[in-house]
Amino acid sequence: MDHPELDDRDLVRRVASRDREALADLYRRHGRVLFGQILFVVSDRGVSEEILQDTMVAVWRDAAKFRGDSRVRSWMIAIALRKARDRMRRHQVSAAHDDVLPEHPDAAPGPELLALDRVEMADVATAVTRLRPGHREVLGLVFGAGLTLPEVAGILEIPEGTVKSRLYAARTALSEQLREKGYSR
Amino acid sequence: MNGESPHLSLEDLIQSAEGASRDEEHLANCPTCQAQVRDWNRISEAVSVAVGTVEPPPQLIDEVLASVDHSPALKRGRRHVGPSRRARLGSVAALVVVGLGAFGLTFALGPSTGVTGVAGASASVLGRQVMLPRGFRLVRMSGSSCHPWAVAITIRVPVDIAMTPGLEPKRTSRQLPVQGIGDLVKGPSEEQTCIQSSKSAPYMLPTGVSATTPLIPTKQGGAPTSIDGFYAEVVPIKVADANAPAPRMTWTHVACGQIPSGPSGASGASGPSGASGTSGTSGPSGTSGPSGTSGSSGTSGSSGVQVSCGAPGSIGASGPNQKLDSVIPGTVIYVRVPASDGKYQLVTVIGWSMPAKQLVSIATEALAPRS
Repeated sequence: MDHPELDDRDLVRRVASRDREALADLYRRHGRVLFGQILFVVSDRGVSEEILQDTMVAVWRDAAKFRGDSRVRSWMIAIALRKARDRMRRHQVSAAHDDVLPEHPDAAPGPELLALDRVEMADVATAVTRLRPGHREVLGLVFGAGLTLPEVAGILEIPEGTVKSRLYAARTALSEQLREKGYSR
Repeated sequence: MNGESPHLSLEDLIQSAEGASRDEEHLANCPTCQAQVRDWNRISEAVSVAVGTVEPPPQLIDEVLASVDHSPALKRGRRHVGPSRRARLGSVAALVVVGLGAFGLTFALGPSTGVTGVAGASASVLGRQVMLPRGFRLVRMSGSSCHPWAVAITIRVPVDIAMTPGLEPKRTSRQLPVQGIGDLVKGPSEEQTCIQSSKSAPYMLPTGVSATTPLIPTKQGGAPTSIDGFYAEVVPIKVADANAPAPRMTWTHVACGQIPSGPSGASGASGPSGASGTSGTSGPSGTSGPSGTSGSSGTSGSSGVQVSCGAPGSIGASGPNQKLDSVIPGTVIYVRVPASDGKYQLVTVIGWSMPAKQLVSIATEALAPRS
């Protein structure tokens, strides 16, 4: 039974007091976004379902620890992405780890960047899915989940400046990938 | 604006790309920012397309709730997802651990869930058709794979009824924690890669890995993706005598298989009575296995666990309790476990392994009965 009158924080409080329906409500409200984010990073539906399940269990377990200094959705996404990273680390998808992500040091686009609006949407979408998981992660949070840069920084536990440099790096990587596909400026 | 720069900040660019410009005047007069907004807009659209609107399984939350309701493991940071009934019967549904010959690998599986099955099912494993014994219902299947030398690994066995052609295309995403114990493990003890085969692409192994990928430990120069794999299926069985006493399960070391040629390997090195292996819960045992419930052969061990073996297309063709150091990949191993209400659960683990005399890794779970 949904509780439309309750906001997310109320639901988390109820979950903390072991209200199962509140957990189900949170799932109904945010499950799709969580799943989309996980799937976008992990690229495997089955694994993503497991991570989502892990996430909801963690929400149940840790609801009492939610301090309310972020949106509930951000908090849940942060849990989900931690789970996703743990999973990828266990499976030695180390290339995806943030430590090795190249980051564009300059906020301004380089002259080599493609004008993406001239590229077929399908090709851009495909290229996005082939980015490093860390790049997909930040793009997914900003454009998929619609989070602000400070929220993304909070979720990823990195400075906001790093979020920005990662976004630019992702864009650069996208451009390079599309150039390899034959697109030219 | 962007600090010292005359152009829009990245946040402003992104906001504008998403249709919420905060400085429309600048944007209207700045071709540089306009180009950037177009680019970010393209990326935004592409991400939306890529992320899509995939719905998570609606039943997933039910499984989460079932697990948080009853799993003591959750308090320890791990969980066993399963229905409450099964959880209540957890002590009865003790674990059966099947260790395997030279590549002995011990897995202990926790309680699991069940879903409605269909009659007369067969399964396809890496292109092989595996017929279930007559009278059995295929309830579900799961798939996973892990390096058989892995020590103290934890993997989760995904479950997907849709793996089986012809079955109800309903997914269930139960997770079955599997803890590798390693007490039977031989070989290098360093951590090995454990890779799950994709649930969304049934029986598809990771890129570059085939069912016959040689199993070479990383230490010896092997690729970290060298794996074997298996899937399991759970089949409830009706027992002839429904009033039979309800035994508790005993940890059991069971091995059986099919010998490719000749009787040389059929020495019966291990059997359902628990020749070796992990110790575990115990209780009154000794009920016989279900008779006449399947078309496969089998013997009943003192633990009450009945084992029968067969290979795809020839269920029961081989005798039980044969050595497992020369098993045909794809061999089917059935372990029937008596449950408390007089019914049995059958857990089948179908393993595939590496070429020539390498053993399938097997894990078997005694399940609580389902109505």
